[in-house]
Amino acid sequence: MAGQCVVVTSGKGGVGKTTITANVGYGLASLGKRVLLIDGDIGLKNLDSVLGLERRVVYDLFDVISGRVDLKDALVKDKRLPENLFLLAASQTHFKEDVPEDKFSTVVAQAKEMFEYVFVDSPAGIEHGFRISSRFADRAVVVTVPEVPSIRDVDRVVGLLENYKVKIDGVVINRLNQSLVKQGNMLSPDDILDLLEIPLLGVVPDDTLIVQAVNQGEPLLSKYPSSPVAHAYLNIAHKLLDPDYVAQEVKKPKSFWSIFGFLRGEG
Amino acid sequence: MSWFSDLFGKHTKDDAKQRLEVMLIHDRGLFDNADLEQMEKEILAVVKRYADIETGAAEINADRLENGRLLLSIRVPVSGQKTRR
Repeated sequence: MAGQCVVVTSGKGGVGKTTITANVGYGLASLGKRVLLIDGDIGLKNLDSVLGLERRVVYDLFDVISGRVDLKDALVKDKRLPENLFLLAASQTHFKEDVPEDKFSTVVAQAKEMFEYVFVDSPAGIEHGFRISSRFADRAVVVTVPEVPSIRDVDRVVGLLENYKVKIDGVVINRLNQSLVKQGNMLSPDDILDLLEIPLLGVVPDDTLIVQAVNQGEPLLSKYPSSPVAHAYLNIAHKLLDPDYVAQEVKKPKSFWSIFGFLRGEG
Repeated sequence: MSWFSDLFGKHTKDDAKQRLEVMLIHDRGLFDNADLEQMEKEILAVVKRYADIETGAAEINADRLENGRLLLSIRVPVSGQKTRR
């Protein structure tokens, strides 16, 4: 079985790569795919804590690269989806430059033998860490927020990915504030797609639940599965499986105050 | 502030889009400012052989079209034709 390696990258930091990786990976695993999430941010590591698996990490990517343990022994099983979702954590005691490209490529190749989807959560920037995370990927998901610096960086990253011959599945527009868009003070998904010229994978609304789920150490998709953000993540997972998938409309749950929405000019 | 800006049509996303359009052209390396300046000089040198032009009034612009293509437009006000012998 040869799986596919998908890199999640953005250029700019702090736009939500890690939460997207965790939740889209979780979504695919919940749809029955065997998924491995690799934390490519060597030296920092974040993915374990977003998944709430930080206390179960024994071995990391560097232990595998240095040959101390086999890949299968370094994997952390996510007990919420025990047959389908696994993590390979990053090392905190090394630097990105310590990881040779050929060694990383071997790990990815091995992982693709064991899993249908191997996600690599790329570090910010376009240096060595980005390069090793991206070069051996078959496909790429790029993440942006609807702001000028982030969109500009994504465009740069798309160019680099094209040089590496990585297929770009599309862009995830993260933290969209619908009321700002309506006001004309935030770029809309259509504006962003006009500029970037790559397909849309999904739009994730800005929501305080995202912070809450990370606080609690559980992917939002598992903690708040009926929220609009969870729908958005799941739509992205579906879209990765089938590019022709039509995203399901995200319904806002009716709150008591929403009946007064017309007062604030909400449709 | 919201009704105020709505009333006077202040939509900052238009600024964002226009600025990004310019940035992305440059970032994509199609033309940078130095290239454009050099091109302008060379083109004007050719035009000057045939026409009197108002130096300083010439303009060369690179704009992005709806379809993503680049439109190069050159505007050279001519004050008179050179008489050919």
